[in-house]
Amino acid sequence: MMKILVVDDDKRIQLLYQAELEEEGYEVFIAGSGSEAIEMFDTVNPDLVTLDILMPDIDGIQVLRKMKEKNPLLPVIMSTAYDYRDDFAVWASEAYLVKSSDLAELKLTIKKLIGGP
Amino acid sequence: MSLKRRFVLFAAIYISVVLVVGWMAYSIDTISVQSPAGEYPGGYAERFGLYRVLTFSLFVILALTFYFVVRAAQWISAPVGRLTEGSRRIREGDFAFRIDLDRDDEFGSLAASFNEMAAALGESHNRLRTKLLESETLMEVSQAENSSLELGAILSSITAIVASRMNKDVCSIYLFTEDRKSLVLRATKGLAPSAVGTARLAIGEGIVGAAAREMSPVAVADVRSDSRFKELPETRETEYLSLLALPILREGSCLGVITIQSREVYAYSGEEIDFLTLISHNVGSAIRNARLYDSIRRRLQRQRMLHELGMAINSILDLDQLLHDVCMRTAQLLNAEGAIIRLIEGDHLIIKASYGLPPGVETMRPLALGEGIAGIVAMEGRPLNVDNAGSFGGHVNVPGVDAKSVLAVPLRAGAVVIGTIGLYNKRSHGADATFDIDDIETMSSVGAMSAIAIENARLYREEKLRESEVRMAGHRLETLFESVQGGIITIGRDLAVRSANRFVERWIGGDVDSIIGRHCSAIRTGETGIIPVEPVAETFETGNPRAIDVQGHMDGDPLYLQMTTYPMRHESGEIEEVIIFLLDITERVRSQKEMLSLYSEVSQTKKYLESLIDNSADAIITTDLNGNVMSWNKGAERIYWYSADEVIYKPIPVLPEFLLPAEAENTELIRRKETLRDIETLRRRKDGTLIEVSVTLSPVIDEYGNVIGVSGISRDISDKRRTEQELTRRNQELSRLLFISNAMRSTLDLHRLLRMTLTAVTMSDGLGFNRALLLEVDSDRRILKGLMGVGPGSLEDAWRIWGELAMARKSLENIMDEIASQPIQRTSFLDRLAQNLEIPIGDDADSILATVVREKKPMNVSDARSDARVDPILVQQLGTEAFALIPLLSQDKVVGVLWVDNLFNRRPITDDDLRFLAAFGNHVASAVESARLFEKVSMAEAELENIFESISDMVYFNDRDYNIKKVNKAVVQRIGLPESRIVGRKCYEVFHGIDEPFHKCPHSKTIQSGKAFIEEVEDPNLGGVFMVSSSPIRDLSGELIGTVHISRDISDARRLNEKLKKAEKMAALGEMAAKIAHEIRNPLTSIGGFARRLEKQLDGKLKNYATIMVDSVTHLESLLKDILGFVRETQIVLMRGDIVEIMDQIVSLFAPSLKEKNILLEKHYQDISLEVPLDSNKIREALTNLITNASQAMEKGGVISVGIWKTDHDAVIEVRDTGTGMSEATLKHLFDPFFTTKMSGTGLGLAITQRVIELHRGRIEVETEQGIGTAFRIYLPLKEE
Repeated sequence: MMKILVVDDDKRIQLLYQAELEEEGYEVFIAGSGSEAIEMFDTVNPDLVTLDILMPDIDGIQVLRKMKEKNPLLPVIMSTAYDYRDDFAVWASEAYLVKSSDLAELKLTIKKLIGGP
Repeated sequence: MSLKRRFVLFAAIYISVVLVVGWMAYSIDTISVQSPAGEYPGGYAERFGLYRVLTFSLFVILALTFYFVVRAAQWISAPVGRLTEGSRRIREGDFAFRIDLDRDDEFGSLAASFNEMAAALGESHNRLRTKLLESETLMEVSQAENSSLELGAILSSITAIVASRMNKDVCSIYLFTEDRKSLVLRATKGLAPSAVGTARLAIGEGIVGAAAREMSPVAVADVRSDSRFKELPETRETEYLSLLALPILREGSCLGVITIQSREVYAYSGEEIDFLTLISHNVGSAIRNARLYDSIRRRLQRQRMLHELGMAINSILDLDQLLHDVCMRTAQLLNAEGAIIRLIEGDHLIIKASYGLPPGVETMRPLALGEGIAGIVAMEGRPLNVDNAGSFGGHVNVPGVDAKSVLAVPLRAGAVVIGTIGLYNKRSHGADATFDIDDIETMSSVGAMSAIAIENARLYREEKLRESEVRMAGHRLETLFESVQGGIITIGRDLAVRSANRFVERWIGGDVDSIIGRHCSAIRTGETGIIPVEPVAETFETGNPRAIDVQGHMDGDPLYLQMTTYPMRHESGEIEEVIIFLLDITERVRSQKEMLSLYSEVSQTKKYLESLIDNSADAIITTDLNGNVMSWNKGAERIYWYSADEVIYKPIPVLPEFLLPAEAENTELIRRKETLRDIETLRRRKDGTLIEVSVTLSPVIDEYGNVIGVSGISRDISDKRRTEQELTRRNQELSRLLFISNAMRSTLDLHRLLRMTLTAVTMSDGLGFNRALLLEVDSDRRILKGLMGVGPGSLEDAWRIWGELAMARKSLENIMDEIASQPIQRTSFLDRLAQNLEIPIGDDADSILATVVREKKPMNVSDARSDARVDPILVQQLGTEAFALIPLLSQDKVVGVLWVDNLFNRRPITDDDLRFLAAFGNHVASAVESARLFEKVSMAEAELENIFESISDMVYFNDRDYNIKKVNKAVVQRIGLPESRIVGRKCYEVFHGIDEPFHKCPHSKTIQSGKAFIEEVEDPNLGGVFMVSSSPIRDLSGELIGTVHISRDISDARRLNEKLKKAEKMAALGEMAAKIAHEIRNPLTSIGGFARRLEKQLDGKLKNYATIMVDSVTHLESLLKDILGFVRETQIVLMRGDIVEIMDQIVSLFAPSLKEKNILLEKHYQDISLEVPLDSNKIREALTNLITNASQAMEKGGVISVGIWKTDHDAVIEVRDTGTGMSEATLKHLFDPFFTTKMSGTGLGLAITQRVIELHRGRIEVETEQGIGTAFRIYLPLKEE
């Protein structure tokens, strides 16, 4: 089963993503902060990461960088509440999605990047 | 009845009565004794009767007596009382009193005579009184005559006295006018006072006139009945009916008329007429006296006023005021209405002042001499009196003034008439009058006096003017003294400081007053070292100015002062003071020194170049465009046998005549700046023999880009061929050597040159050694430092390389070409080894290398291991056993050592090899030397040029006359004209589009003051605000020859600043938006997300509710998207931009850090600008990343070459480095984000670059070779799709 690491500091988002992605058949891991995500990265070894940017401790860009350093080929979807696409840094991610209550695009992107569960 | 008779009568009556009574008393006494008895006893009876008679008789007598006495008293006292009262009344002056006593006795006659006497008394009293009155009146009149000196006042008093004394209502005095044609009322009591001076009668006119004509009194009791009467309305005399007019006669002539008038009809008595006549005499004498007095007084007054005038005008030194004063005083003095002063200026009389005339006078046109009254007076020099100026012609009239009488006199100073003074309209007693002889006399005096005063005032004015000039000059000098940017000190004969300006304070370190009065050696304080004593003394002695430069110190820095001493001569010619000017020329001296050192550097460089040319084996000849030889080197002497002295400045002698047309064609090509290479042709030697030569002709270009001559390098190829043949036979190497040196001469890049040298040494095609090392003498550190090594790293390597070379069939020439054109790899083992070599060559060093350097001789070491002179470590490092060392000699100086060996094929090194190497070494040395030199010069030049060109501010040089001499790229870009169309033109034409100097431009200020100025200038022509600085450029002698301008467009800076602020604001906004998004979108996402989940799982009503929630959230989300602009993709904004400009900006930013890292930057631009559609910010980011990467790939220095050119569809930007290159693995991940091989960096650089280029629909290519370097090429489409 494909493993997805959801990194988001908002509990409600965590719950939503977990429910929806598990429903799609992925194994979902939740990290509530940047540091937690980096901690979990090695043990979980996810197939894909969804990554929020605005987080209280380490921001998503830093997390992205750390993860890409460890595994440059790991697909990362930036899923944020705000458009940071002008920031060169996020270009390192595979996809950039603005959060929406309709998760269809997210699911589609995941499928494109890592195939079905 | 008389009093006597009456008295007798009374007495008779009295006596008779007494007698009767007595008798009766006696008789009664006897009859009446029978009176009642009883009461008087006895005897009384008789007695009683007697007594009674007696008493009665007595009583009657007494009563009678009393009666008579009373009657008598009454009768006498009444008239006596009347008389007494009468005499009292008379005494009291009541002469009208009369005693009214109707008696016929003495009293009656007494009363009558009393009355008569009283009447007589009264009459005589009245007569006396009239006389008294008259004499009193006369007295008063004569008192009045003496009481005042003014006739008007006297007459006025007289009329008042007469009217009151004569008890009349009016008394008036009329006097003749001077022309004696009419009578004017002069004084009156009773008539309207305003009529005085105006009421006027002709002689014979009216009663008054009649009296004057007849010279006899005229008395009219009632004027209504007199036909002569003429009423003068101004006197308001209608109510007066009687009139007595008397002529005032004096010595047979009539002076006037005195009149009295009264309200009621009145007939004047003869006495009154007489009396008034008497008074009229008095009036006559009073008038005469007054006139006499008046005339004396007037004379006196004139004298006094003349005196005063003289005093006054002599005390006034202000010319304008004086003239005005003279006018005023003269007019007043002579009772003139107005006065004018005209002064002669040239041929004309100019009005200078006026008094009492309308304001327009001053602007009246000047009169010519001889024109008008004033003109005549001025010309003839004598007074002119005109009674009726109206008859004189219009041009003398003052506008607005009805000129009647005019008196003009010349203003005569000595014999010279300097002008005129004219008086207008004399007035006398309120009437028009004419000027008399007195006036003329007075005026002549005034004229003379005024003229002198005017001359004085003129002199004074001139004096004052001169004085103010002198003062001004003094002031000017003082200002100059204090404000001049140099020290000024004056020194007296005693060598004491007399004065010094504030500027001096900077050198004496204190208040300038402290040195005043002290010996001039006191100027030296602190350490400045200025001692003006000697030059000052010399100037005092010789009287010559002296200028010397003195050197001192100030705050530890050198201080240069130019000291100039000037003598200040007294009027007598004696030197009174010496002025010292001190000018701080430290800056000038400093810049001169800098210039000199620069100059010596340049001349040294020139010397090097000259020696290079001189030492060349080739003939290097320069000629001007006419074919005259300008330089002729030793090579030329060798080849053509002419010495330099024989040919310099003469037509070049080596051209065979049959080749002249062809040569002319060549020259024509060179004029067009073409270079003709390697033409094989013929030349004639001094002995007439023809030789074959290969000639390269190139233009000599001056600093302005003009072709001024031809430089030819010719090589004797007959010689070469001969040598070749010889070499083919004996020593093939020489040709190689020549070829190599030729190849080497083609490059001045030190690294390439070294590489060529060593490659030539190591190629089998060349000298054929296995390995070669080049070491350079570092004379400062006294070491030999390895520069480069060429050769295989190991035996295997050697076989592989040789094999490859053999396979590739690369000739030496090919290799050389490659070296010349390709990046140099510096990665080989030997090269790295070489670069780490440092061998001491000090005096105490006895190594074999040191020996070679010291002895300047080649050395062949065949057995290194046993040779004691060989450093074993070197042997170990190089792994060699036999090697040769060749000193590289340049100008008899060892500049380096060439080390060769044959490690791999172990071929022994022969003496021939050594000889050949030695010859080669010389070429190498000079080539290296020149390459070094070139490198140095070109580095410095490139650096300067780079700085000059890369300054984004406009920089340009102007000569003194605003001609532009040089501009940088920023100017070319801003002006939009090629450099050739800017240089040589006037700066104001080019920059400001005007044809005269721009007033705000600081250039002229700099030229004038020799100082730098900065101005903020708004220039509509270029459209912007510029900060323009202008600094002086001086030549070697310190002479100002022009200015350098730096013009910065601060409008951009301003705009940028505004932009920045805006961006900051936007950034803040963005941050807020991000926060809001976070705060709203997150909950929205979860609400909507869960609602969707519910929607899927629920049925019926609840499902509808969920749907409502989903819809609402979707709506809100789309709203949020719209608001925060989330729909947009990462965008680039394409605008046409100059990629060359962007690249230049980037590399100029990098220049300092590149220099620090020893990285040389080369620019290869096809054109000065190349515009493509681009997002300049993003492209800048992308290119910056490439340059950063390139510089980071060359930690030990190298070359970054930046190229921009154009293909059919794309602009190509190439960034090439001579760095480490990249491995296959690196290349694979090169553009991955966060991929980096470096210790620092984000790893995003190339990812970003790639992304940016992709967004521009361009592509990026990489070419890399490990150890050689990397080249990135970016292709940007020329046109937007």
